[in-house]
Formats: sequence, C-alpha cells, structure tokens
Amino acid sequence: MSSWNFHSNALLALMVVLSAWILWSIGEPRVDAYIALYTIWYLIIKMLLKPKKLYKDPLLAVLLTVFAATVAYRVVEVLSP
Amino acid sequence: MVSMNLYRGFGLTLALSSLVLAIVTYMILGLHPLIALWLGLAIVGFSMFLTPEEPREELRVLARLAQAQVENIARVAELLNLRGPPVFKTVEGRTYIILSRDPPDPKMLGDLDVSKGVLETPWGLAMVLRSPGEVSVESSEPCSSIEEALVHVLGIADWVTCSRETGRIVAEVVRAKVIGGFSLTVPGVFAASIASRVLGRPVILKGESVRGDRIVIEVDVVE
Repeated sequence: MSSWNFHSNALLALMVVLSAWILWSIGEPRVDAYIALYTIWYLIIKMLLKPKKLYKDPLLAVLLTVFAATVAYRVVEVLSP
Repeated sequence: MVSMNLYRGFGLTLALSSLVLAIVTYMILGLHPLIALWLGLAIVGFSMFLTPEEPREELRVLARLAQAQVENIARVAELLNLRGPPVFKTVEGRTYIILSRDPPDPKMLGDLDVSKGVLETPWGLAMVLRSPGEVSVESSEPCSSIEEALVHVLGIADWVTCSRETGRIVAEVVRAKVIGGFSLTVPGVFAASIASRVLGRPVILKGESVRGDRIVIEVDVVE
C-alpha cells in the first residue's frame, strides 16, 4: 500500500476525532454540523494527498449527498414560515 | 474482484460496528455528539475499506523486468541511432515497437508487416521488437485503460490524469515508482502499448517529459 493512502486514513481519523472533540466541547448538538465538518476534512485530505480509492470512491458521493441534503433541509427550514 | 486484506477488513469492521454503536447510542442515550463521533469513525472505517491493497511482490518483480526490458530497448535504439519516435502496433493481440532513424510516415503505418525483425520502410530501415507493455485491461477506452493498468494492475504510479483529443492522447503520470532510463520510460511504453491495443490502431509515442516522478506522455493515434 502506498504510504499516502495509509497516511490519509490516519489523518482523517485524527481530524474526525479532533472535530468531534472541538464541536462537543463548544456544545454543538446537531449531528449534521459534525458530518459537514467530516465531509470538508475528507475533501481536503483527498485534494491534498490524493489517496487511491477503490470503486471510484463511493464514500465521497455519499458524503456529498448527505451534505447537500442537509444544506437543502436547513435552507427550507429557514425559508418556511 | 478486489481481495480483502487485513487492513480493509479492519476498516469494514470498524465502519459496521461504529454504525451499530451509533444506532444503539441514538436509541438508548440519545447523545448527539457521541452519535456524531460514531458516524465519524464509520466514515474512517469505510475510507480504510476503500483503500486498495498493496501491489503484490510478483507485480513489483514484473515491473522491474519491464523496466530492464524498456531500458534495453532504449539502449539498442541509441546504439543504432534510431532516434525517430517509436511506433506501437498491435497485431493479433501482440504489440510491437517499431524503431527507425527518421520520423515515420503515419499514412504508411497501417500496412507495415511486423512479422520481420528488420523492415525496409519508405523512411528508412526500421527495427521491430515486441513491446514489454502488453497488459490486458477490462476497459475499452484508452485513458481509463492506461490508468487501470498503471495504477491498479501494476501499481507503478499513484494516479494518472489523461485526456483524449482528436488523434492525440496526453497522459500525466504522477508519482511514478518506475521510470526507466535513456530515451524511453516504462509508463510511456505501457501507455502507448495499451493505447494501440485498445484502439486497434498504430500509435506514435510522440513525447515523454520527465520532471521528478511526474511524466507527461504524448501519444499520437494514427487514423
């Protein structure tokens, strides 16, 4: 395995735990905020380290779909009376 | 089919157990930050599960053999002063490299008989060798075939960005682990061989520029 692939997963694990810890410590209760941050970290690591992924990375598609759905839900929530 | 190694197995186990823990936490505790942490670990687990296996030792040996062959071809070409761009032609599933002193005439490449070792062509004498870059791939499109062969089958590069315009394929090989020597590179020979094989046409390896572990390969497809 390329060390970049290994490092990207290790870095993602570190950023996920750090993000969860920081958001938890500031009292953030919304799960979608956490997932949005995980998605951003996943994208940043993917852009910077370009790790190889099997099956054209379906996880990225799932994360982006969840992210888009969450944003859409929040927008509708704000706009609806 | 991609095999499951220990690392990927651990990733899948982590992902599934984290999802179960997230559901249990939601049902029993309802503690949202903890649910979010489990979901984060599930993402890490799936990311590990989607990480491809390390290229096997046999493939590394084959890559080194290919490197030696490519280097030998380049040495012979240099010895005989065959400085024209190499042509790759696939006939009956076998790919050949045609080396000549002067640039070849693309219009006449389709009719070349590659069964002989030395050819007399309108642009001078040419030497015909078997290409070491014969790789069978599932894809039928040259760019994805090149990526599949170099990254996933042989594991000699970390990734490939490739574009195909009319009559030309340009591939950038990033973090190439095997480069080659003299005037030819291993990824270049593989890319041209695969393009010729997939398209069923002769191709000309027009240029290769090496910058560190990045190689930009230009292949002209003879229409």
